[in-house]
This record gives sequence, C-alpha cells and structure tokens, in this order.
Amino acid sequence: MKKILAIVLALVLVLSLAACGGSGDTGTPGGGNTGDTGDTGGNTPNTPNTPNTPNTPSTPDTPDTPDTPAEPVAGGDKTLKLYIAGFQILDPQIWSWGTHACRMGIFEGLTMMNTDFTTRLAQAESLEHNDDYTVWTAKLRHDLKWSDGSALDANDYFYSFRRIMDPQYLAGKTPSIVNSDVANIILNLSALQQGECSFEDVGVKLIDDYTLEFTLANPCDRFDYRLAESWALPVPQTVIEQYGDDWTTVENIVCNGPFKPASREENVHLGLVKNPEYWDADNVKLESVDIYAGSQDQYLAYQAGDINVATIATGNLEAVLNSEYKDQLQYYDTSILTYIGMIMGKDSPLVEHPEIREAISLSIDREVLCEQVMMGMRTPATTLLFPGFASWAKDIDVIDTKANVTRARELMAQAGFPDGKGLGKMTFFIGGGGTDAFTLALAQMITEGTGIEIDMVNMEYAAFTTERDTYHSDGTWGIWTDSWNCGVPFPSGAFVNYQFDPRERVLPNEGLEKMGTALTGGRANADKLAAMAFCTDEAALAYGEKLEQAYALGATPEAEALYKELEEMRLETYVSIPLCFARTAKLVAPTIANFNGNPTLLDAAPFNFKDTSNG
Amino acid sequence: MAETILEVNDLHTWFGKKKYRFGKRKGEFKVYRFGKEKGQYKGGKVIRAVEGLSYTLNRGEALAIVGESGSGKSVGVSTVMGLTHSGPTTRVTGRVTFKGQDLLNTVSDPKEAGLFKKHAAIREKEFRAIRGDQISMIFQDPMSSLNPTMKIGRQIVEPLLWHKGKLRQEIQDEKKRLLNEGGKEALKAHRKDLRMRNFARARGLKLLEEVGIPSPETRFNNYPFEFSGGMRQRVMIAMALIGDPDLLIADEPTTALDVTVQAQILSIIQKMRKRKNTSIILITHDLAVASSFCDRVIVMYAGRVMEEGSMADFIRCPAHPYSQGLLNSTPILGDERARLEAIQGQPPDPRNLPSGCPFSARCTKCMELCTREAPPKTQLTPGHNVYCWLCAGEKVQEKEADING
Amino acid sequence: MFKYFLKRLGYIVLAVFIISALTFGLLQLAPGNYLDTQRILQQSYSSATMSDQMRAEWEKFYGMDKPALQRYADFLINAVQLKFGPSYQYSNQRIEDIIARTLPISARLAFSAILVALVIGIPLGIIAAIRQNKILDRVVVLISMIGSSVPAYVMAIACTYFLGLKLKWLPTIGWGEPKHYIMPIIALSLGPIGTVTKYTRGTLVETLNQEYIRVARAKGGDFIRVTFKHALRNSLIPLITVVGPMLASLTVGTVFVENMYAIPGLGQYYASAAVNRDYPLVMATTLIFAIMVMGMNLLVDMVHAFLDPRVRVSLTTKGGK
Repeated sequence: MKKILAIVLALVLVLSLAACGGSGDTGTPGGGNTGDTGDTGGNTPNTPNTPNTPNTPSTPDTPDTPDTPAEPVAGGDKTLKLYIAGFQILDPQIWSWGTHACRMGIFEGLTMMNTDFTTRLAQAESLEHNDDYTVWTAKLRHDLKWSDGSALDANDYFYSFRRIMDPQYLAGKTPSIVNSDVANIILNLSALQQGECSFEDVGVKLIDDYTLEFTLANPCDRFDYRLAESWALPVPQTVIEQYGDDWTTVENIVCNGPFKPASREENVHLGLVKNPEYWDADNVKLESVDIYAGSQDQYLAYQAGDINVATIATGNLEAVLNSEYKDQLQYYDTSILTYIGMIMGKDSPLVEHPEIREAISLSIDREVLCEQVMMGMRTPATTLLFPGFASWAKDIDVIDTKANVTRARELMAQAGFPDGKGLGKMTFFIGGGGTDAFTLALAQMITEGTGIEIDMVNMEYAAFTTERDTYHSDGTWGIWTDSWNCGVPFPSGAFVNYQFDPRERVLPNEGLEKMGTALTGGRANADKLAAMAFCTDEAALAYGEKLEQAYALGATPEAEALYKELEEMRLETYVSIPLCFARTAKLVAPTIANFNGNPTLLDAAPFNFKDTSNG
Repeated sequence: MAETILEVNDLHTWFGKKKYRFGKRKGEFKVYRFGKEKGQYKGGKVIRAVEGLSYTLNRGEALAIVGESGSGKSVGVSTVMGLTHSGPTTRVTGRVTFKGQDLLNTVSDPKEAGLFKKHAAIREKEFRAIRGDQISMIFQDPMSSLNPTMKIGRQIVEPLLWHKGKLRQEIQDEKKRLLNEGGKEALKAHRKDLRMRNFARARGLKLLEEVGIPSPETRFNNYPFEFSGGMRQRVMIAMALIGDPDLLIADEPTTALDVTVQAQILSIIQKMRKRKNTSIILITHDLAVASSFCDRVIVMYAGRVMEEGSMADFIRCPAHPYSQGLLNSTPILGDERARLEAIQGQPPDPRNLPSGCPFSARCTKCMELCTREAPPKTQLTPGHNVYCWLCAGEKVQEKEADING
Repeated sequence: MFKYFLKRLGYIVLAVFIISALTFGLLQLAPGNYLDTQRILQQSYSSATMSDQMRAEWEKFYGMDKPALQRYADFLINAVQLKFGPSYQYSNQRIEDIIARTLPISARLAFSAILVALVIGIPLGIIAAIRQNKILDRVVVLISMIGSSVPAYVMAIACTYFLGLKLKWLPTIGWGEPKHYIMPIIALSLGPIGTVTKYTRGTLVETLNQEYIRVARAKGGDFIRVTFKHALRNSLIPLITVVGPMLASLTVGTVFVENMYAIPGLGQYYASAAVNRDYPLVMATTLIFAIMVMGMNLLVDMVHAFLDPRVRVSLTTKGGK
C-alpha cells in the first residue's frame, strides 16, 4: 500500500513539473540583455531568446518611426523611475555608462540635445560661428551656479576641457572623449592625444570669463551637437582637487544640471532630486528621478509600479501585447546594427574572390530574418549607416532586403566554386550571444544560398573580441557577426577612424598579419594605417582615396555627398555586410509626457530629464 | 519481614504492525481481533514476546530471569521500567504492581486499549518519578550505554537532578542534620555544599568511590572513552544506584565483559545490595552467574515461563527438560565431563509460535500432548513450579481422557 | 589544541600563496584582455578608439609593460599590505574599497541564509525525527526535498512574482533597506533548509536509536531532557561539518541571486570582472574567497573539536586513546 502511494505521489510530482515547464516562454522574465540595448555593460547585444512561435509575425502594427506618444493622462507623482544601462562612474569625463546619466540630467553643457538631434542653447547664451564653420564662439550665461552655490563661468569649462583632452590628467582611465569624433574635428586635438603637442596648441581658447572660442581643423556645421555630448560637460575644479577620485560620491559631488544625486547604491539605484541652484529650475517639472541598473525583469517591476518606464525584452513581448498595458507600448528603431565581418585568415578565399562575399550577402533574406526569426524586433538593414542619421540612406540601392539565391549561385559558379564545391568549410565565429535562432538561421540561409558548408565556433565574449581581430595562419577563414552602434548621429560618424574600411580586411597575407597585430594590443592607429598600406584591391583603394577627401572636407554639406558615395562604395565591396537594425519596445506610464525612449545611443536617448514630466 | 516490592501478574506483551488509516481513528492494532476470537489468532504478524509472565519479588530478594536470546526476558522487565507500554504497535496486558502502585493500568477488554493512551499520559509523569529513582536499570553494553560526548560525572548525577523532589527532600534532611549537629554556623559553612548541583556532585563522587573507581575527583570529569569496559560498567552501576533505588534491574550486566571483571562487577552489585537491601532482578543467560548471586530463578522460553523456584531447589532438582538442558550445557570449573551437552535446535520464530508447549520441537521427551496444548502449572514444592506435561501427573490422564472422549 | 590551530593557519597561508600563483598564471593564459574588450565595446558604441598615447599611459599606469613575474611579485607585495590598486572597470575606486564595501553584503546574505536555514531546518528535522514515518515526517521530508531541488534563481523569480507583484508585500526592485533583504534570503536559504532538515532528521533518528538514549529514558528523563540534552547535542555535531562548507560555498555562490535582485555584492562584481577580464579585481576576489572558504573550514573544525571530545582527543594526541 505504501509503495503504491509513493509511486502515485512521484507521478503527480513529475506531471506537475512537466505542466509548469511547457508554457514557460511567455513571461519568462529573462532580464533585459536581449535584443534591446546593452543593459548589462560589457555584452554587446546580439540576439534574444528563442521565440516559441516561429512562423507568426506577432507584432502587427510596428511603425518605422518612433511613436509620437499619446496625450498624457492626468495624475503622476512627478518622479521618473527607469532603468538605464548603468552608472558605474559619475564622472562625465571617464567612460562608463554613467556618462549618459550625467548628460541626461546631472550636468549640463553649453548646448543641449533635442530628440531630433538638433540642439538648443543650454548654459551658453549664444553660440556663433564664422562663415566656413571653422571657428565657433560660445558666450556663457551670467547666472550659472554650481549646486553648492558657487559661480560657474568659462574658467570651469576651460579647466574641464583641459582635463579631458590632455592625456596626462586622466592617465590610466578611459576618457569619454573617445566616444565622440571630436578628436578629428578640433584643431590639434588628435595630436595632443598622441602626445605630439601641448594643450596650448589645441583649438580651445579661453577669451574671458564668459567666452570660449573653438578652432576646428576641418569645417564642421554641426559642432553645436558635439558641444552637447558628454565629453563637453563641465566638472568642478575645486571639488576634484579637494577629493580626488572620491569627488563623485553623493556627499561630495557638485554639479550644474537640473538634478543632483541624492542617494546612491552602487550598481543598484541612483536617486536624483531637483537642483535648486540650476539656472532654469523653474522649468524643471520633475521633482526626482530614480535610476536603476541591473538585469532584472522590468516588466514585473513596471506592473508593480516600481518603475514607470520599462524596456520590454522579446520574451515578454507577447505577454505585454495580451495584457492591459498594450496601449502603453512604444516602439523605437535603434541604430544598433548587426553585421557580418570577415575573419582575417591566411589565403582566405573571401579576400581573393569578391564574388563569394557578394553571394553571401545575396543569400540572406533579411525580411524573413527580421520579421519571422526575430519576431519583428529587427528591421532589415540595407546600409551600414542608420537611415535615421542621413536622409539619403534610403536611396542607396546596393543591398536588397530579400534574398536572391539564383544570383548567389551564379556568382559562386563564377568564382569557380559552383554550389560551394572545392571551398571547404567556412568558419563562423560567434561571441557573447551564443548559438541561437538568429545565427542558426543566418548559417542556414548562407549554406542554402551559396552551398558553402559552415562550421560554427561559439566563444566567450572576451575571447571573441580577440579572435575576430587576430590573424589566423592555420587556414581558418570565414565570417563573424557582431553589433555596432553609431555614436554620432551624422554620416561622418559612420566613417570615423576607418570604420568598416574595406582596406582593413581585404589585404594580402602580410598585410593581414600586420593588421592583426595592430588591432589586438599594438599601437592601433599608427600600425593600422601601416598595415592598410599593403592593400592592393582596387575597389578598396578607391574607397581609401575618397575617404581622405571626405575627411578633408570635414563635416559639411559637401562632405555629405561624398559620404553617400563612400557608403555605396563600401557596401559594394561586401566586406562588412549589414544585416539588421535592432528595435526596442518600451512601456511608458500614461501620465508621463515628453519621454523619448529612442535608445539610439545605447539607452542614452537624446532626451533629457528636464524635458520630461510626470503629472 | 518480607515485604512485596514487585508483583507481576499474567503479563503479556505483543508487538504488531501499525495499520494506517487516514481519518478519524489512527493506528488500529491488528491484534485487535483478539478480543473477539479468544485465543484463535490466525495472522502471523504479531510478535508475542511475553506470554503469561508472573512473579513476585520481595525486598532484598534477588531474582534471576534466565533464558536464551529472544526468550522475552528483556522485554518482560522493560515493561516494569515503563519503557514498553501499550500503544499503536504494542499491546501489554496483565498487571504489574510496584510497592502497591499499578504500573500498567490495563483493562481486560482490549477494546478499551484505545483509552489506555490517555491514561498512560497522565501516569507517565508519575512513572517518571519512579523510573530512575525507585526502579533503576543497568544495561548490557556499557560502551554504547553511555553518552560519548558527555562527561560521566554529569551522566551519573542526572538521576538525582531529574528527580528534584527527592533531591530537595534529601537536602532538607541534610540541613536538619547539620543544624542539629553544628548549629547555624555549620549550616553557613556548608551552604555551598547544600546547593543542588554540588550536593549531587558530592553524592556522585561518593558513589564512584564505592564502586571502586580510583581517583574519583579526576575521573568525574572524564569522558566515557577514557574508561575501560569494566570501569564503564561500574559507572553504569554508580549511575543506577545513586538514587538508592528499591529495585535494581540488571539486564545481562556481565555479558560484554571478561570473566575476571565479571566477578568484580557482581561483587559490587552484591555489596550495594547488602548495604541498602535493594531488590535485584538479574537477567542473564549464564546460569553460573545466576546461581552465584540470586535467591530465586525463573526460566523463560519463547516468552513463556518454563520453571520457577528457589535457586537451591532449581540447582538440586531441575524439573523441566529445558532447565536440565541448560544446566548440562553450563561450563563449570572442575567439571569432569568431556563435552558440554548443547540443546539441539533453535528457538522458534516469535511470529509463528506453534500451538502447545513452545519447547516441544526441541524437547527430547516430547509427547504428543505437548504439541497440542500448553502445559499447566504444576507445583512441585511450595515456591517451585514447573510448566511441563511430564510433571503434570494425573492432569495428563485427565486431558487424554478429554481428548479421547 | 592551540598548536593545531596554528598549524592549520600556516596551511591556509601556504594555500593562499599557491592559489594566487595559480590564478595569476591562469589569467595570463586566458584568451582575451581588457583593452580588447573595451575596444570592441567602444567600437560598438562609436567608431572611436583610444589614441595610442592614451593606451600607452593606461598600460603604464597598470604596470602592463613589466614582465609577468615582476607583476606577480608586485602584486604579492601589495596584496600583503591589502592594497590591490584600482580595478580596470571601476577606475576611480580602489579594489580594497570595492571589496570592503561589497564583501559585507554578500557575507551578510550568506550568513542570514544559513541562519534562517538553521532556525527553520533544525526544528523541522527534529519534528520529522520524532514523528518518524508518520505523516508529519513525510511532509517534512517532502518539503526538504523540494527545497534542495528547486534552484535558487527559480525561487527568486517566484518570490518576486508572488510577493512583489501579486501580493505587493515587498518591492520588486531596489536595495538598501532591510525589506530588500527578505526575498534574496528566502531564495538563498531554500537549498540549505532542505539540506539541514534532511541532515538533522537523519542524524537525530540515528542517535535516537542509540542505546544511551534508552538509558537516559530509563533514568527517568522526560522527552525534552532526553531529546535536547542527550540526543540533539550528539546529532548536531555532524551537522556542523555540513554547515561550514555550506556557508563558504554560499558566500561565493550568491551570484545568481545577486544578479536577480541587483544586489551590489561581491559575487556580482566577481562575475562581471571575469567576463571583462578585469584582472586586478579577479585576483583580489579569488584570494578573498579562497581565504574565506579555508577560514570557514578551519572554524568549523575548531567548533567541532570544541563540541566533540573524541575529536578533540584525536586532533591533539597522535591517534587519541
């Protein structure tokens, strides 16, 4: 009798476990690190959870442009509670996710970003430039104060610029200026960073207590935007000199933005309160901002009311669409690009035969990949540059969103490898995200379209970062996928520092070897150029020449035309193949107005806490 | 004056299996059916450990209960200790009286056995007052009978400390004595000694000395593994006798010890018995030990009494074939026999006792009647009874007449 | 006894030394390095990279230009003084500050979880042992099995869902106040509760079958005295040998729970440091954890010797009595 009871009990347990396990995917709170934007610092976002309904495109009305949010309803407690990627260091000049928090509300620069990437004046009273956009002059307001009541003037800005530009001040730390392309814009700035000159030679001058003058190396018509980036935020000299590295603790920190930090739990929570010394405090509608970090399930927290803006992971999307919060969803197209790059391998067939590269690109059906495999959380990419950053991107007609297998096969035959015969196995490096639906679908499409056999190699992310840029002399050749985000919302931003330069990969063996050393641990920039000199490919060389011309023109409308040509040229080499842009879904509480969650810049949306209101 | 300390009447102890029942009544006992069908139990799952054990013990007397392993001798006395009582898996019937107090409180109708639990609960507290204090027990294996992580001193005084009422009484007596002898100053001087723990400790030390453990002060704080086997048994004796019990039950105290130590232990027990006039029940399978020590003897087999009587009568003239067999198989120094005569066979399975005399399977003088009916009690001489058809005399003829018609 | 303690301490020091050398060596061998990771990360964010000068400064700052052996030696010298330098990721904080801030949090969590496990598990185990094979025993054993089988992070999610969302008793996010400790401790303590209950029950049942328990009853002991004074003490002693390593592994193994609840504890920092190849932080944390585990074991052995005289004897004399 006892035995029978025991068996029955065991069966019941097993059955109940099985029942619970089956319906897991809807509402698997998987943390926010998938598909949406790099919430956990350290992993570039790749691909989300395996969807459980592969054939039904599940998000029916997903607009291409960011939603204009609906009219806010009454109510709201004047706080904004949300997650951002992190706030490890609150020094705006040291690179960490904290620089975004600084820019969004703790510190304020000369200008301020608007959601459409235009700018408006912030701490500057006026900003003027000369006719050819090479000299810009900023005049500060006279009523500026730090949060401890002391006056703020151009001396503070000058000190801050020197601190971030001159490598000796932040030695051992990564200055956030690397995230902007301003090193190529301001006169002699890159030379200073290379240690070839001193700060006096740089094009930043203090004219008087309220005036600053910037001299640029090349004309730049959107320098006002650069001044709104986080590197240009001022930092308090007296506090830094007094406290050193500890100046950013809650007790010590002094800032000049609409909010100031009131409480902080490292890596957990940052509480901001309204800064009464802020010059425009009357127009700040929020009373406080609660910022959280971490990979917890934001949907759960949103339902509980602990946050009022949530990023929804793909795994939760269906659950949200079936819930009462459906109307609070807002979709945003981000500029996070997933692309295919080339492995640097000895005698790589991809280097010798551009047809194979083109065939690979043609064999991928981007629409299927985005709508069905990724459930609509991706949009097909036909350019490496995000269309939102350049109006002409949509006109470029090199890459198609649908596959063309016939043509791919033709090309393979043309190259001398009909249906992939004679090629051997192609290696496919995957790092960080793991082998999931996206990469599997990709590999399958390539194999079906070109006939090439694929050998997938999955690695831990840090190992991947080394492997993808190392020269492999053991016969490994092939492709890898990774993500990239443009830090500057202008076309020039997509060409800075030889990004996606075909001369980086289409090189003879010697050049590849040098490039490998240059990229992984050597003196990157100088050696990189030396390695690129080995390039013999005509298309790549033509690209290089044009690139130099574009650089010379700086950031001007003339340069725009050149950038369009450059984009076409590099797409046609098929060295870097764009696949798709990521799309995020956010839940925004109906009482909130003027929230723009466009995480174009990795969750540091071009919006500011000052503009948002909640009741 | 022979005062009766312990009286056991028709004690039966059965162990069965518990039957689960979810709902109102839990743990129905399988032997429950006994009540309805007297004596005709069919199932085989009940262990009838003790069947019809009766004896009387007077103050100062030493009784030996002799038998093989599994003869029910230990179980019999565990009932006296209260370690076995009726419950979901056990049925105890009969009557056990200690110094006039009923220890079992049983009822003859097994239907009311369910009620017994409630009764037992009330009585458990009273029983605890008796157990350890007025009745104490020495166990067989001194190695495992002592808590290995506790100092023996503490274990020895525990019976005193756990019977606080009696301890307080003794302390009061001591106080009075001191007052009489030395007045208030003596009381003050010995104030520390009159505290419970110290008083108990002093008593413990005294007892250690009495059982013959050298340097008791140091040994008091030792752990059991620091003693040899014989020493441990002495500690057990000290533990049992610290409360001046009226009855000491010794369950095979010397079985685990070697012969020389055996003698020492026995002499200690004898000494204590003489000093305080303690009654003793000695359980053993060694007749030699029993004979040297005890006044009376009970022979048990398969839970039943086979023979009982005074030691002298028993040794001189054992009536039951089993007793004869036992005596013949006891090695005695100086005996000229070349071989020991063992009794053939094994004790029966207590779950499947045959009808009739339990010894019938191994008895050399077995008769057909023996396998059918249990033999009655036959008195050979006053105080010497035997349960055997061979000695039953005319009763045999009566029975045969009954059977044959 | 004291000599034994010193001897063990000596072993710990030696072991820590060896561990530091091993970790250092293994880290050098591991593919990937911090600057490469950051380079790719930054490229993902923009197109920029550090200038060569900046990179050189960075390497000099962290002593990367010196040969490995010298770096190791420098590390050891500094480590003895408890100075681990700045971490790569959190370049404005010193590692000893990070550890000083986060270790107490992880340790507090682990200790609380063990405490809860003991407070709940031991009585449950006692109940189960006393009512052995009855319904209560079966229920308790079932609960303990579920406890040891359900992984901590599953429990964490379930807790957040029910207690945080449905019942609204506890906040779903945040940290700092005592109420934020409740759910992580529940999630962490579930496994230990199962283990402690099962263990207590097992040893208690075994002890209760011992002869000396019968003797204690024969001396007139009541239920409480017999169970707690005699049986429990002996059966809890083996429990200590289980609790010690459990405590050590729990301190290290809080990573999942810390991740789920965004708790700024050492486990989380350790995990992200390993992924990002933040060498100084990894080295320091590994050493700290190693010391904790070994220290915990030593403490357990000491307590064990204190409680059980037989162990005491076998440790101090050669082979005991």
